Amino acid sequence: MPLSPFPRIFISCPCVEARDTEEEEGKTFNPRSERATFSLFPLDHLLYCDDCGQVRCPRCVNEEIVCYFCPSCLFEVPTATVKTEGNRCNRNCFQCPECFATLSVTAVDPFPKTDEKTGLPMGPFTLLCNYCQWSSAKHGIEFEKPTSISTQLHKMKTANSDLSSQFAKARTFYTQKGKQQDELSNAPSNLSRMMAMYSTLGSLGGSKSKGSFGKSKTEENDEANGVIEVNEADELEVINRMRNANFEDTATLEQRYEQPHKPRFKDDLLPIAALLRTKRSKRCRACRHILVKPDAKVSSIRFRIKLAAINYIPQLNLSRLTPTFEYLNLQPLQNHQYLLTVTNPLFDPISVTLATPNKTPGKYGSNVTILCPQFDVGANTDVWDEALQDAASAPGAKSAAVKKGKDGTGTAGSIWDSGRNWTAVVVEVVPPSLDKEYWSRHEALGYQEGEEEEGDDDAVVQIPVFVRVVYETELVREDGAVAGDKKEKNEHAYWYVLSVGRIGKTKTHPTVAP
Amino acid sequence: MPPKPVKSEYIETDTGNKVSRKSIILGTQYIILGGKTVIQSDVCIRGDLRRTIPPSTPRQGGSSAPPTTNVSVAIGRYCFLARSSVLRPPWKLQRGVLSYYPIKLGDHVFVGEGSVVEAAMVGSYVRIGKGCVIGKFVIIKDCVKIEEGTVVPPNTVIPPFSYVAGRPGRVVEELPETAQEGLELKNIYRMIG
Repeated sequence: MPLSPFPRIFISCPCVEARDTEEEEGKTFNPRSERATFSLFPLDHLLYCDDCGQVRCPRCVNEEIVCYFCPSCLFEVPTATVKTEGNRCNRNCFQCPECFATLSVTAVDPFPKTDEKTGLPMGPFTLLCNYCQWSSAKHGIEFEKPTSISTQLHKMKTANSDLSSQFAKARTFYTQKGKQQDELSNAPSNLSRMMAMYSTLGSLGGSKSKGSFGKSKTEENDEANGVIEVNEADELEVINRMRNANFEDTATLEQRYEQPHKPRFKDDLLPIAALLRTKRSKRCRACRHILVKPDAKVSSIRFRIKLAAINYIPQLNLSRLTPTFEYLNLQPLQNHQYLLTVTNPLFDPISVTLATPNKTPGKYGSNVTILCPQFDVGANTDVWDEALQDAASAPGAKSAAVKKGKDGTGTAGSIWDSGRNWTAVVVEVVPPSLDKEYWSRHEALGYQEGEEEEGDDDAVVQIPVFVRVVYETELVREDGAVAGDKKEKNEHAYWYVLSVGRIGKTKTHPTVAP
Repeated sequence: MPPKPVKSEYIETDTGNKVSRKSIILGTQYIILGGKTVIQSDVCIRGDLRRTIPPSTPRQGGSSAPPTTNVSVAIGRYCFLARSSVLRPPWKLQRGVLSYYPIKLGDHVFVGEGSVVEAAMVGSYVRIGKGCVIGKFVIIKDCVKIEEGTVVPPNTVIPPFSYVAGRPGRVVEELPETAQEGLELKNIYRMIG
C-alpha cells in the first residue's frame, strides 16, 4: 500500500504499554521505537470496548468467522463445503494464472452457433483472461458446458496428473493415523508413551532416536502413503525444456506459488479457483464483549453491532495555517504554523489537555510548541439544536467567542477558532537542518530529493502528543433511567502521533544560470 | 447597456445537482441523476449509448424478460464526477449484434480525475481514484476504494469492503468497519459552487 500523503495522524493503542516494563511507564511515547510500528493505527481502524472503556486495535480483538463467501460470485459457502473444497470456490470463479485477474467463460469460437432450443451459445468453451488474453484453450483446456467449470476441470486434472491421487493417498494415510492416535490418547497409558517419544526427540543423535521415531519416518516414506518421489527422468526432461525455453516461458515466483504443482513453465500453469473471503465479527480480548457484528448477508454493508473508536475518541485533524510551505519540503530552522483541530464525537462537552515534548524524539529533533494546550470542546449535539440555540441566545455572544481566537493570530494561550463540536489551536514546528550524512545516505539509497524513504525516514517530523480528555456524563442506572443530576467523571488519555511533513533542503533564492 | 451577469461555472438543478457548463453530456433524456450530484468540467457522460435491440425479444425458454427501460445511465445521490472523467455504458455482442447495457451508480460515488468507467454497476460509498480504468460489465459492491491508476479488467466483481490496486486491479486489503463514514461525500458537495 502506498504511503498516504501528509499530514498523517495515528493513535497508539495502549495494548502495547501492557507489555512494557515499569521503567518505561510515564515516559514520552517514542514513535520511532521499533515497537511503536505495531501499536500505531489511524483512528478509523480502531474499535472501542464499552465495558473496558479502552480503544481496541486489530491486535487486541478476537475474530470469529460469520460466513464464507466467494469474492467473485458472492455466493455464501457453507462451512462443510469450505473444508472439503479447500477454501476455494467450486463454481465458475477462476483467476488467471498469469496476471491473477478474473477469468471469464467464453466460447472458443468468436461467433458461436447458438442452441436453437435455449438460445444460448454452444461450446466448446474456454476460460479467458480479459486483461492479458490468457486462454485455457491455448493450453489444451476446453469445456463442453459453460457451467460447473470446477467439476469439469477437476475431472481433467485427475485424468492428467497423479498429483491429486498422491494427495488423496496421503490424506487417507494421515486420517487413519490420526484416528489411531486419537484412540491411543484416550488410553491411560498414553502419557508414558508421549513422554518417551518427546524424550527421544530431545536427545539428538542418541541411540534411542533410532528407535520409535526413526521407524515412523520410514513408515511415512512408504510409496503407498502418497509421498512424492523424485523421478530422475522427469527432472531430466525439465532440464532439457529449460535449456530450450526463453526467459519469458518460465513462470515467475509469484505464479509458481499460486499453483499446487509448482510448475516451472508458463505452459503448465492452470487456472486458479478463487479463494474464499470471510465476514468476521470481533470481540474484545479482555472482556469477550462483542465489538463488531456484521450482517450475515454477503453483500450487505450494515452492522448489527459496531463500536468504532471514531464515535468515542476525539478526532485530531491537522492542516497548514497558511499554505506557504509544502509538506514534503519543510524548511529547516523556520517556523511552520499548523492548525490542529480537535473534534468531539461525544454528546457531552469535553475539556482537552495536550502535552508534547519540546523536542521530538529521533535523530533530528524538531522544536514543537502547542500555543494553547488546554481548552474545551463543545458537545456533539444535533445540528438543529445549535440552530435553535443560536436563535434563542444573544447573537453577539457567539461571535465574540470566535473573535477571541481571531484577534490573536497564533498568540499563546488562546484558541484559534471553535465551532459546535470542534476547537482549533495553533501548533508551531521548527525543524532542524539535516546534515550531509543524511543526504548522502538518502541519495545512496536511490531516492529523489523530495521522496520519502520507506520504513523509518529520519527526515519525517513525527510529533508525539498526549491527549487527555475529561468529561462528565449523566449516570445511567441499570434500569436505563437517567439518575437525576448525578454526574460521572470520565477520562480518556491516549498518545497520538502527528506526522506533519518531511524536512527538505534549505531553499536558496533562484539564481540565474550563466 | 448593463454588463452581462457573470455566469457561475455550475448550473444547479431543482434536485440540487451541480453540473458544470463545460461538461459534455449526451443523450440527457436517458440519464437519471438522483440529486446533489456534482459533475465537473470536461466530464463526459454517454447517455446516448443505449440499448438498441429491445431485450424483450421472446425467448423460447419462456422466461419473461425484464421490462424495457429507457435509462442508459443512472446516478444516485451525492456522487462526484471529477474533471475529465468518462461514464460510458458497457456493450457486448449479443447474437452478433452490438448492444449497450445500462450503467448504474449508487450513492456517494466518487470518480477521480480522468477515470473511465464502463461498469455495469457501482455500489454506494465507492471511491474510484484518479486515472483509473473500470472495464466493461464490472460490478463494484458497496464500500470499495480503488487506488489511483488501477485498471480493473472487464467482468470483474469486487466484493464489499475491498481496497483495490494494481494493473490488473486486485483486492490488496480489507477496509475497516468505519469505511462508510470515511467515504461519505456530503461535505465535498457543500464545498462546490
